[in-house]
Amino acid sequence: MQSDEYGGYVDSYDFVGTGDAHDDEGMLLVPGQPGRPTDANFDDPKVASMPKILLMGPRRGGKTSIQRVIFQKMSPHETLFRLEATQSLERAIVDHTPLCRFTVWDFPGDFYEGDETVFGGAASLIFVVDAQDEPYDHVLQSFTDAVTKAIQLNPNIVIEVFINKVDGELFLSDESKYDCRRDVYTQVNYELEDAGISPDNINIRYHLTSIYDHTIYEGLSRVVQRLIPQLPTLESLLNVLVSQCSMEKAYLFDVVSKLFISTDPGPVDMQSVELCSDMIDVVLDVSGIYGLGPSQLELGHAAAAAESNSVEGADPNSTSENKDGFDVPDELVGTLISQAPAEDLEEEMVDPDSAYDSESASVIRLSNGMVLYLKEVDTMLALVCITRSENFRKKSLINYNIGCLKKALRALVDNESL
Amino acid sequence: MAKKKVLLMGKAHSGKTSMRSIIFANYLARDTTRLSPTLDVEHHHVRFLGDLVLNLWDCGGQDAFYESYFERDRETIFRSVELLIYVFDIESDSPEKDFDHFSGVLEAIEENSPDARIFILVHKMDLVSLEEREAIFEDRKRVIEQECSNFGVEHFHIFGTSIWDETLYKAWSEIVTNLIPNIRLLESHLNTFCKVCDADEVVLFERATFLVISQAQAESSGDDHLLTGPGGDSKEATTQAAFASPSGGADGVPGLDEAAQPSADETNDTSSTTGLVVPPDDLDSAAGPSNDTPRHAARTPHFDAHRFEKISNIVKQFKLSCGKAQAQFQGMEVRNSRFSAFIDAFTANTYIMVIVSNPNVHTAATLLNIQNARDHFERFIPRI
Ligand SMILES: Nc1nc2c(ncn2[C@@H]2O[C@H](COP(=O)(O)OP(=O)(O)OP(=O)(O)O)[C@@H](O)[C@H]2O)c(=O)[nH]1
Ligand SMILES: Nc1nc2c(ncn2[C@@H]2O[C@H](COP(=O)(O)OP(=O)(O)OP(=O)(O)O)[C@@H](O)[C@H]2O)c(=O)[nH]1
Ligand SMILES: [Mg+2]
Ligand SMILES: [Mg+2]
Repeated sequence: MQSDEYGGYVDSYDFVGTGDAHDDEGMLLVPGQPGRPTDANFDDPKVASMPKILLMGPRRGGKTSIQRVIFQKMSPHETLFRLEATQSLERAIVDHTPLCRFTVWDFPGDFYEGDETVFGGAASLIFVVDAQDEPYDHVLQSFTDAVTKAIQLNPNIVIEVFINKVDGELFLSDESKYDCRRDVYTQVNYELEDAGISPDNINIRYHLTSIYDHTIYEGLSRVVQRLIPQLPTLESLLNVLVSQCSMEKAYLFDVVSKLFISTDPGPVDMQSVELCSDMIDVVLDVSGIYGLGPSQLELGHAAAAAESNSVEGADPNSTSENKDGFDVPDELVGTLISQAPAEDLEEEMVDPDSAYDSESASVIRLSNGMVLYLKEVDTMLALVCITRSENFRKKSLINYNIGCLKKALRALVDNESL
Repeated sequence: MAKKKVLLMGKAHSGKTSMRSIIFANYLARDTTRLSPTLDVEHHHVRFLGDLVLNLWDCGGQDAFYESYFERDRETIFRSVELLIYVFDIESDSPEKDFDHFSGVLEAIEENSPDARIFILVHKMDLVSLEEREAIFEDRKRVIEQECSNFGVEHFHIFGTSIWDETLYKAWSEIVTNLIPNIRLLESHLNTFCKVCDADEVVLFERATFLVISQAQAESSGDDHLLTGPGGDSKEATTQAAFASPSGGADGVPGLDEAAQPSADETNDTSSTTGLVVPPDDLDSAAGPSNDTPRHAARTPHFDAHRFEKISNIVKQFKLSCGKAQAQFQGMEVRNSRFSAFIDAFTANTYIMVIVSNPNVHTAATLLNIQNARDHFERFIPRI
């Protein structure tokens, strides 16, 4: 248990293209958040107090793959040849956006030991089962052992069973997936009862997942949503937004992991979540090509200097243009100038590296009359709305309301850190 | 309407059908693992830019088939070939045998279609580690070049490709634009359009495949740009009028664009009624370099050399996602504090992408320019 690799910070920021150690270090310092750790020290009370997600299960079940694909942007087919069996516990901090912070503990296969330090502060235990490796009975016996221990030490822990690898030839039909879930469910209940635990008394959920499609994002989103104490507030904020602006649906996404951390109370259609999540890819990819700061482009010295001058000029710029006659309160993709207080501008300037910045926004029009509208609402947090194009015409109303939401989110975060 | 015969050859399992399916039949890369070996020759007719029909001959690569390709069906296969695409698998277990087939194919092509254009793809490059990729590719390239020169074949292009990244789009864009006549004319009009929009660059994509067919960049040096100031260049001024006609105002722009226009039911911010759709005069000043633009002087930065293929890949993936959600992609805007990108359906058979980093250029003006350029460009998309 010695190698504490902390992926969340360093690796998950890799997508902005900063490779060298110096920059990575810089990434650890998030401006405007004094007291944040500058080193991934898991004994640090700040880190220790983050909710813990434990990944356990049989060898080759896919624990490390899940961790890498979601939090370190490894492509699923790379897991085939880039991963070796995990030898010791690997921990990672996930802290992209203030509302959604936690640590992920990836255990070696078939490792179910654990004492107070492991299960104590854990919010969830994800048990990853390989759906393509029948029979499951042996695996589920060890599962029962782990669960028994976990709930003894921590009765509040949520058990999340990830029935993973439901893809490929064996699972072409939905029916085969549901059959598989029923099998696992029945056997788990049987095992638990055998061990003297009533399944009704523990918090246990089942998810069918595959790293090759969106199901893994769905499963982890549901896990992560449980960790957010402000969830009810978020939901009601989004509810207000959706009804004020006659939107169909609104989601909050952590743009780095692409997990959705909240939505309005209306029914969730996974297909639309998937589309929103794909939209985030588009926005990050296109911005990564055209919207990076000078440091990533490795411009020549002079050019870089010219550009950094202009970065200072950039924000005043947007106001200085306005002076020639009119405020531009609402460009097609509005910029919320009116809502941006001075500190915000400052914060933006100290972080010129990210392609996703406080003016990040995107509009996608679909042939069925729907519009997807994405807007930055906090560091690495995106609001993605689905709305009918006729309701999208009141653009400044929408932007005004999103501005209010943004303020409210800020207040929620500030409250928490007090 | 023109039909062009395209031969797709190479050893079994090298990835021929995979590439064809991704580029022309909307497969995802991961779907190709389910393909079964091609038996004999599969014929596919695919349309490109509306009028160009590619007659793809996807030739199964098992040894047994080559016997008949080289003997019994020699003429049928190798006659009147417009373009040959030969695929090498980088992980081949018997490279010598690959070259046996390859030289046989070269010989047969020289004999039956001496004018055929030849493209050679060294495929599955993703299986080589990133560090070694360049070296291994160069090495393989040298051997292939040697082989070609042995057969007196001088004109050919070699690409390293993989279905898992944008290199696939790079190679196929080159291959296909090779079949489009008159592409230069289109390019010069695109250049003008790029200037008028004061865009950093403008790229045209074929609608169905999203392969790049043409592109234009702003002059890279800021000084050059300053020379073509507003009013100083009368040609520019006239073209500009053609794109952003005053009458093209409010009613010309449908859908989303209307959102840009202040309407009565919006929040009562009267200042916004100054009109976000910039009239031509305003556009003029916005488009020309203003006196305070150190920021734009060095504004065509050294973007990623593979960006167009990456965009093809990104948008194509997203189009497929839309399809899964029973919707069709129409157009998008993406921005941050440094740029705005507009990707929109353009002429009947193309999509356009316009990149603008000058913050003085209004979104509405760009959208209007795109809108007004549609008809104009319809004439310059090559008819084949
Ligand atoms: N088909 C499929 N394969 C998967 C999936 N998830 C993981 N794999 C594959 O399963 C293999 C093992 O994955 P790992 O992530 O190393 O499994 P692990 O649970 O961390 O293994 P240990 O560290 O030994 O406990 C890899 O080859 C992955 O590519 C999935 O959802 N579907
Ligand atoms: N790693 C990798 N695999 C690829 C690539 N392209 C294709 N493949 C895989 O290669 C296998 C064979 O692909 P096919 O397209 O059927 O090969 P083919 O050349 O048509 O084969 P024949 O029809 O028998 O001549 C499939 O499993 C593809 O998924 C690539 O770029 N990288
Ligand atoms: Mg592992
Ligand atoms: Mg084939």
